[in-house]
Amino acid sequence: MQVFKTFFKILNKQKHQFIIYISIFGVLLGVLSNVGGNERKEFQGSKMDIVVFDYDNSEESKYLMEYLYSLHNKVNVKDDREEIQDSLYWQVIDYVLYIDEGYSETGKLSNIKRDGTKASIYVEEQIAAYQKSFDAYVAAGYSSKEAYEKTIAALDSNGLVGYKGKSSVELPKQYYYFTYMTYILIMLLMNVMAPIIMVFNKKEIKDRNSVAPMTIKSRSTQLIGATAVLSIAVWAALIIVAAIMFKGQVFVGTNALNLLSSFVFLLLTVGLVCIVSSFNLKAPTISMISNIIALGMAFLGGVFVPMEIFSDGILKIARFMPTYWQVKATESLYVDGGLDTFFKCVGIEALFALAFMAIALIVAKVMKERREG
Amino acid sequence: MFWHNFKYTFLITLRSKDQIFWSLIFTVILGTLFYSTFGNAYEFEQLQSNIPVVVYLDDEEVQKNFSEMIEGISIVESGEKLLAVTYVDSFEEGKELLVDDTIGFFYSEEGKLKLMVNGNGIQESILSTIVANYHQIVTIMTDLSSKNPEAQMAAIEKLFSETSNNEGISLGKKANMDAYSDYFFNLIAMSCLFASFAGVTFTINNQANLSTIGARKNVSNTGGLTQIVAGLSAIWILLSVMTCIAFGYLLLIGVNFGDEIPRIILTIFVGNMVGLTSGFFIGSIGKLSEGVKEAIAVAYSLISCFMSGLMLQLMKPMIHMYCPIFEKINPAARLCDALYSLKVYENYDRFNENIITLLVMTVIFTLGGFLLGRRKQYASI
Repeated sequence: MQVFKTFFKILNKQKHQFIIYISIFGVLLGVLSNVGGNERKEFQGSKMDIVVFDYDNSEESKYLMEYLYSLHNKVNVKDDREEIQDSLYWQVIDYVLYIDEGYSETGKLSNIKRDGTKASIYVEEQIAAYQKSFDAYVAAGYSSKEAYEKTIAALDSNGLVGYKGKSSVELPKQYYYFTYMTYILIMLLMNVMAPIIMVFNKKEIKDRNSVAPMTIKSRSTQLIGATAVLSIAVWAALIIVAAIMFKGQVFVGTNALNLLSSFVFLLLTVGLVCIVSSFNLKAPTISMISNIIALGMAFLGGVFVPMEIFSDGILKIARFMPTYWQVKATESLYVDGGLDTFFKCVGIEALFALAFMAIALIVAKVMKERREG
Repeated sequence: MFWHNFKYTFLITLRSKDQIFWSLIFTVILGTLFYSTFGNAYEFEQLQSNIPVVVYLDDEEVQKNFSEMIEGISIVESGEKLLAVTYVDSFEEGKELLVDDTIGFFYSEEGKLKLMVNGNGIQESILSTIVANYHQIVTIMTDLSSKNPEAQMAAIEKLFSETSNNEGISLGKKANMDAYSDYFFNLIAMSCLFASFAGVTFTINNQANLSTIGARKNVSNTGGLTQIVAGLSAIWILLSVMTCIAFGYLLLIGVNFGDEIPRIILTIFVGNMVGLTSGFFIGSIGKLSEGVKEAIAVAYSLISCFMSGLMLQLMKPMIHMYCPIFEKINPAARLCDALYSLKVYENYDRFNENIITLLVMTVIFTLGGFLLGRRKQYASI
């Protein structure tokens, strides 16, 4: 068990770095999965984030404000151009409506929006429809109150729009946790495990070990065992964090399948780490490679940004990213897709794991031949 | 001796692959990736024409009214039709075709226009307004039937009026709403803050108990202050130039940073100064090993960029709303905000405020680094 013990002795020597890395990435994962949900505007449905500034304060203006806030989310923003610009830019608000002074007589409104966006056109359409109905009823002789009530009834499309299958649901926090976990796993294992494996791959140490009274098989088995223990420990730690965050829900029903997909992703990450650590690299170089691989896969695989914004060409490239399949697998558990899609995606991830392991073995063999040659 | 130290630190840094990677290659690779992934993402937010829909209307009146209605719907800017309609022969066929890219299925039931969708995204919601408008017209016409003809005419005039009383207000000619630009601002900020790695390495190479070069430098006849100022200046200029080259590359591939190029370059130089001096400060803390100091520098730059929205654009407004103090002191957020204000605002008040904050941070880090590292005695190495 000497190799196995030495592996953890090296880890112990680097415990400060290990603690710093696991703390940063643990915090990142917690924060990401807690705030991640709001990024996907497309899945939020028809409720936009709006602000209405009423400078008329009349019965009519109050009706319009009441109607709009019944359809959309009210956001509190000051009537300050800089704050409005920032909030529209950051997508905190989608539409700002000013009910101008004298609205009850002139019907004059003004707005600030992100020009040409679906969200702004959608809200604008609703305001126009309301205005036309309200004005029509008033012109027909109804009082403001009656006109408002009749307008609300005329605009009510309840029962006219239905879903084909199950309605699309808002993705739960667990979805974000298990997709962002891919980035964290790659960063953590690359920065913590690769430097340890590389110590064993150093030429002098490898040469010394090769003349030791221990078979290659025993040495390799111990090294694989230690790698497995460390990677499973990291994975288990992240699962425990998830179990605490989601109050044990990760083990219930289809949620439990996330454990399977994240475990398969762990295997392919270990494969990636093995490939990288086969080369004789320095610690800063590993940091560079891990950043490129982790951020690259996270962005291209649809972890950090929704895949809906990808062009067809990028979507084709994304299919070569294991993160893409992890995102798809997790998504299939919560939106249309089902278990068939889930197992297909996890199967593809398993193939990635096998391919990475095979590449790691080939690279190790080539490096060995080069060293001996 | 200042220029001697300056020259050799410059050459050492230029030949160090790590630093060149972080400041130049990393930014170029990630910038290319960002640009190819969501360089045109803002267009995705824009309303697209020809939304694919399926239609099956067995009620003649509904069919006639619906056809007239959708004929009139087109996108104002391009004049293109909003809907790309496929008519089918049965309800089942329409339902079957409501898959993948098809957004909605319009059908008639009991004399009413109805819509079937697969989700509740914005496109589906826009389609639902067509059904709502149709329903609105039918309801109002029914309600008006009991009124006298004059009142009916006045109401119909209002109902089908084409004039809009809702006027758009412009936020200025530079106002820009492409939130995806923030990812590129963050990338530049990240490149600047990665100068902290060079700061840590440089400081360790000046400490006799942590490196052999440090031991040699400590017994030389050049004063510590000269060595440090010369070395930091050399690294600062080199890394700033590297970030500027990366920035030039991003401009070349088509990233829109606005037209304030000289001020953006100033921001890059100030950003690298903050990054480098923060690394100098981290490197000067106690007797921690090189690995630990590097890990602290990684944590500092990553968390700073994360809180500024590198991984999740939403982080910046969240921090702005719930912890504005942290946003004020986060160097990555200040850098991003400086670049954002240059692109969006016509005056330089906000930009100047950001640059002054960054310069104050530089002074604090530099003084802190000097105070932690000055007059160190090494009795035994």
